[in-house]
Amino acid sequence: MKTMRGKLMHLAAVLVVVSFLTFLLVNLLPGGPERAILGTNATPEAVASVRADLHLDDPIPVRYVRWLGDALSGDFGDSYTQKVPVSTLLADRLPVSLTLMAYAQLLALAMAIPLGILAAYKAGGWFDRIANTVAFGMLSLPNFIVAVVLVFFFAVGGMSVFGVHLGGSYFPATGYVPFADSVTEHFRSVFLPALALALGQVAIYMRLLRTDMIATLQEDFIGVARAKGMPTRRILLRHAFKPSSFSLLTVAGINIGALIGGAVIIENIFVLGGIGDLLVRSIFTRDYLVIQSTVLVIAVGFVVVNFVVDVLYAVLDPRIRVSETASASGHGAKALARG
Amino acid sequence: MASTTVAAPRWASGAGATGAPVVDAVAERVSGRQRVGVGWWIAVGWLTVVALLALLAPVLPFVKDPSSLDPDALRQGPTLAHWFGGDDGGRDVFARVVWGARVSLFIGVASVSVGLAIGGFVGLTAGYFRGRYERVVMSAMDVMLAFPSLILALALVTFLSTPGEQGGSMFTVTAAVSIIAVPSLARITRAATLTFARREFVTAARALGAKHRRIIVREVLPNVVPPMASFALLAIAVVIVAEGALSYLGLSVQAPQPTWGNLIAQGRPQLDIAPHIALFPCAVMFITLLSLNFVGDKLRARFDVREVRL
Repeated sequence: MKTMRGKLMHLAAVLVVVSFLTFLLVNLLPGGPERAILGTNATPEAVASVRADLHLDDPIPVRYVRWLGDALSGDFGDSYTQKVPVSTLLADRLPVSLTLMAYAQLLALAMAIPLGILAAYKAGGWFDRIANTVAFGMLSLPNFIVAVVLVFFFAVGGMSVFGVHLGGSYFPATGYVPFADSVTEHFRSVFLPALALALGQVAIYMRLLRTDMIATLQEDFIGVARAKGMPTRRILLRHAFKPSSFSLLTVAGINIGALIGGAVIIENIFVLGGIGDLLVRSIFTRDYLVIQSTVLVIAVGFVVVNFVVDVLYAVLDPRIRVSETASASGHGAKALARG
Repeated sequence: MASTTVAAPRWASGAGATGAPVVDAVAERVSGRQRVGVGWWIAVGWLTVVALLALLAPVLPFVKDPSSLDPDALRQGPTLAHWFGGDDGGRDVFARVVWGARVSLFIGVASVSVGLAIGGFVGLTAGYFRGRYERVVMSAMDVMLAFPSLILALALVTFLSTPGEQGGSMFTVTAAVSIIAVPSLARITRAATLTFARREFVTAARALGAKHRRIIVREVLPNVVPPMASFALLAIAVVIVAEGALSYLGLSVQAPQPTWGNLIAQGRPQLDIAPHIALFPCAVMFITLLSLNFVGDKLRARFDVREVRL
């Protein structure tokens, strides 16, 4: 397939550029990486040893290739502050972040799909109006504010308004419990973080699905199904939902980028100890190799996910598989929907 | 955080502006009426009040000194003397929210201006000249979009700061956020430019012998500015959120200088004993973002900006 080869070439090019930029970040530091690692008062011997350790006397392209080769084989070097391999740190933290993002995504779709279908079914009705207004509000709510408000009402006890007590302490305010330790505690510990991360996405997904569903419900085959006396429920779920879900799927994929950014701050608020937490801590301790590796892993993950979404989109939507012009319009829809 | 309307059919127009801004814009143009509604004016009013408070904070008599410690107001809820209560040092939360608005609004307006200047130039020239130049420049923009934006912001703030400096200064944060705003603004300007660069008046100007520079500045730019201006409001909201996230993480302008993000972070561990310390900044920030989005969305619907992505 010609387009597939083109897409792979594009993927490879973007990955090279992204990794090179990530590599350059550390090397463009004022005073060079050795000053950044050791501070400005380091002894010449310490500086020399770090320079030798990082091969800083080689030309940049050589160092880049060596660094990339090491990174590809899983060797990101050792953390200067924690004295452990960066790969160990990443392996410990990554599952927490991936779990959080997966739950958030599932939760968001589980809420957005029924809401979007209902809003589209009675477009212009009271439910549609309320859902749209709430969605617009949600889009203006940064996830760290959502997180703080959720903690307030569902973790630390809430407040009393005119004698009525709102909220309680249903969930822990901080901490992460692995699935293997306790299933119920695991879900209690991730529920609020996942919800905080999901709510902003719900608004995006719901509005998108609603618009596509409204367009699909205009199609002739829906009229035929209705004329045959098919129950509304079946028409909505079987006939209208599937063709309306392509842009939803695409955007759900693209939004993983927003989820990654959101996860950094949500992990920090709920002290979950994921990769975002690692990144922020390393920034404070100026642990540049950890920062560099974390940014690399996140950026590569993001680029690859976008690539997979792009390919899946073509596989799922027959219109795009057949004609090239349609793929251009699909691209336009994606660009529009990246909120 | 922009609206995500993709081809809504006409009969959906009853669903209100938030659902189908494009359709509403068409309806308005057809009917010739330019209604914006009471909500729009309330939002404009809120933004004006916040901007004036932020601007005049040092001279307004009812805005207290944000760093003066009042032992009587220690973690105290709202009173007549302290409208939003006092924080864990007895500082006036209202004054701190107002001074925080200075940081948020300054960084918001400054980075979007810088982003518009650079992104606007790139988008305008790419959309006008097309060809290889466009491909190279827009690929560069796409590479920047290949990083999740908050991660890029974190990395830029870290690497733009001088060693030994904890977090960012006003300058590094503004620079980092501006860089992040550039690719999206470039894409939108390019999209707007493409629609105008092929129009008759451009061809006419060219036939009259006008130079590229003159055509871009006198013919294309004036048409591109209105949609860009309405999008700028939405971009300011996005930038304020980004600054808020950075400063929540302690990587923007440093405490004791108050920012909305660090005020919320400061109140977070005390939610159980003094919730007002976090909740007031949260509320002010939310209403401000809502107003920016609402005003921007209405304007955007009017100018019909199609390609929206930040």
